[in-house]
Amino acid sequence: MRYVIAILAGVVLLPALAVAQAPERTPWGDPDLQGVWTNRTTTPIERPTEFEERTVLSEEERAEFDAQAEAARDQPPPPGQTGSYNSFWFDRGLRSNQTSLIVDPPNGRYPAKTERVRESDPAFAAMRDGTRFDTWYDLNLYDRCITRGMPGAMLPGFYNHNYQILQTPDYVVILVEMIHDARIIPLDGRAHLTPRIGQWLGDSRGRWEGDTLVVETTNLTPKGDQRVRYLVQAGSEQAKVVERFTRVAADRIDYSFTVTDPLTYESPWTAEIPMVPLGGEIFEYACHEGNYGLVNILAGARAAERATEQ
Amino acid sequence: MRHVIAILAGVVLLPVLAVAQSPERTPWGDPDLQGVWTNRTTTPLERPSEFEGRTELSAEERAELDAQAEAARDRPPPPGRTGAYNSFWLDRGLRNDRTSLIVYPPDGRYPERTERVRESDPAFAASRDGTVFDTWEDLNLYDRCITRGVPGSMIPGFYNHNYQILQTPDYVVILVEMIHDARIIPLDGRGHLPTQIGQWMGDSRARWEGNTLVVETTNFTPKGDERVRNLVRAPSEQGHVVERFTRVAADRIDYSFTVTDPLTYAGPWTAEIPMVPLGGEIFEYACHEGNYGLENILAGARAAERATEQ
Repeated sequence: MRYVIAILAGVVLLPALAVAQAPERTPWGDPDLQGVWTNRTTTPIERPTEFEERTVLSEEERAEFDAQAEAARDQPPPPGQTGSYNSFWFDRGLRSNQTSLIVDPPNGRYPAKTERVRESDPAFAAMRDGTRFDTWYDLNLYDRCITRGMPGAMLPGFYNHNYQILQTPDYVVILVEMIHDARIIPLDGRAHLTPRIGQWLGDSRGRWEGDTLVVETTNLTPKGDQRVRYLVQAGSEQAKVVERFTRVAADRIDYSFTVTDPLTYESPWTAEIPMVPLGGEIFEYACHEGNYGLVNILAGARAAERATEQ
Repeated sequence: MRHVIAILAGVVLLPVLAVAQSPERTPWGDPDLQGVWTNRTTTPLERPSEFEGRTELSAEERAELDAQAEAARDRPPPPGRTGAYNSFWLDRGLRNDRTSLIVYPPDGRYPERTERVRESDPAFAASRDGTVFDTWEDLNLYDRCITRGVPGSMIPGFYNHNYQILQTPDYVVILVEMIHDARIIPLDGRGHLPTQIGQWMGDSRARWEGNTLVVETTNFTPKGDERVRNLVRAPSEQGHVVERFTRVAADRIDYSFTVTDPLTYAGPWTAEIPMVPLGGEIFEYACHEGNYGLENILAGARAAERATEQ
């Protein structure tokens, strides 16, 4: 009798499960993550203090934030400041219902940085004050158009937070519009590179765990000081980044990554950043072309020096 | 009777053709071009005048040219010159059996440039003399680590002339190691972008013609003067590039491209550049990092000016 019930339940329940859980599949049977996606959002990576213990915003709070962001658009800069891009250039999206992209530690903030990072580089503090711009090497990897590294490349920013995913039986390709890095990730079970080879984007290996694509990245390069590495959140040579991609609906990939990096953080941290269809395609990316930002930063620092000397 | 002979010939010849022509296939039935390939060669793009009227080299001539190249390696630079990379950095390969990569026009050389290109830009001549290096913007797109464009990306150079090809049912991905451009080319029959969108890599669309992948690229940007565009061979906004990839053996892709660009060349030109397996993988590419070449070029030009003034 239990046997009969189990069969009956199977007949009744399976179609419902199939609708809820079965993603589209590639011709060779893998879950299909392909498409052009964006993870733009105004949700901050770290939780603002006002939401200390809360992980989720109410609909009213989300609407209020979006209204505030809209009202702040294209306001003239304060007197004496140059201002920045206007909303023609920004593509910031809306709040998600999370109070922060970081979901672990539970306070939604980065874990404490190790003593090595906090104290090893006095230049870091000077750079954060904006006081030292003697050469383009004082700028970070992102400002220099080199890379956003891992996991930096997968974090939303001001614009260009768009991703094209392609799959073959043996590889996943993730084209990152910002800085136009293409991550080509083997799925064929091969081992990581020798630890002597360090790269800004590290060395990624993918595998399927059920319907979730799991990508493990190691072999991050220890090059550069904290000033150079800061904005891209570059992992140390001991870092490991584990990403998870699950297509939970035709129009959504649940994406998360966990960084474990004992040389940089006292404990692991995890961010959840959903991806939704961009509804468009990615065009050619340009960074240095027609970009005088770096020249102007250095010229501004020289002008400030002359003003101080007089 | 002719009918019977034709059938007999078909029966006898078809298995031979099948062996010679049927490449490996993807699970969905397309010819499989996937792998990591290189097109390195010391065969020049244009035919040297000593081989006028000849398209092929004898095995003895190839051996002689390879021996000459080997003997010229790592010689100290002439007095007063800085020299360039040694053979640790260069990866030049060997001669192939052609006298030039250009196979059309039949003389193995570029067609005549249009009057527009020859005369429109006086700065071009000055820069080719090596005399104008006032700013980094006097350097070309390749020196500035921006792109080699199309067809420039597909032409072998001194090193990093390696390509990873991936295929899905709807796209072909060509990762170009040099400058790390990833070409993501739709195979789904969609139309080209509107003509007002110009890109250095253009807009590529692919299709299968039998076992040959044919890639048509249009939508080139007209930006920049001839100095900036020269080394990457950037086509004009009327440029049209047709590439053909045929896997003729497990260890060879016959690759060619034809450039038709009435604003730049008096006629079309075609280059044939075979690809063979690299026998390795492609690591992260770096261009600006630790690269003081551009700074030194500008500093050298300033030093030359001071020497002239004195």
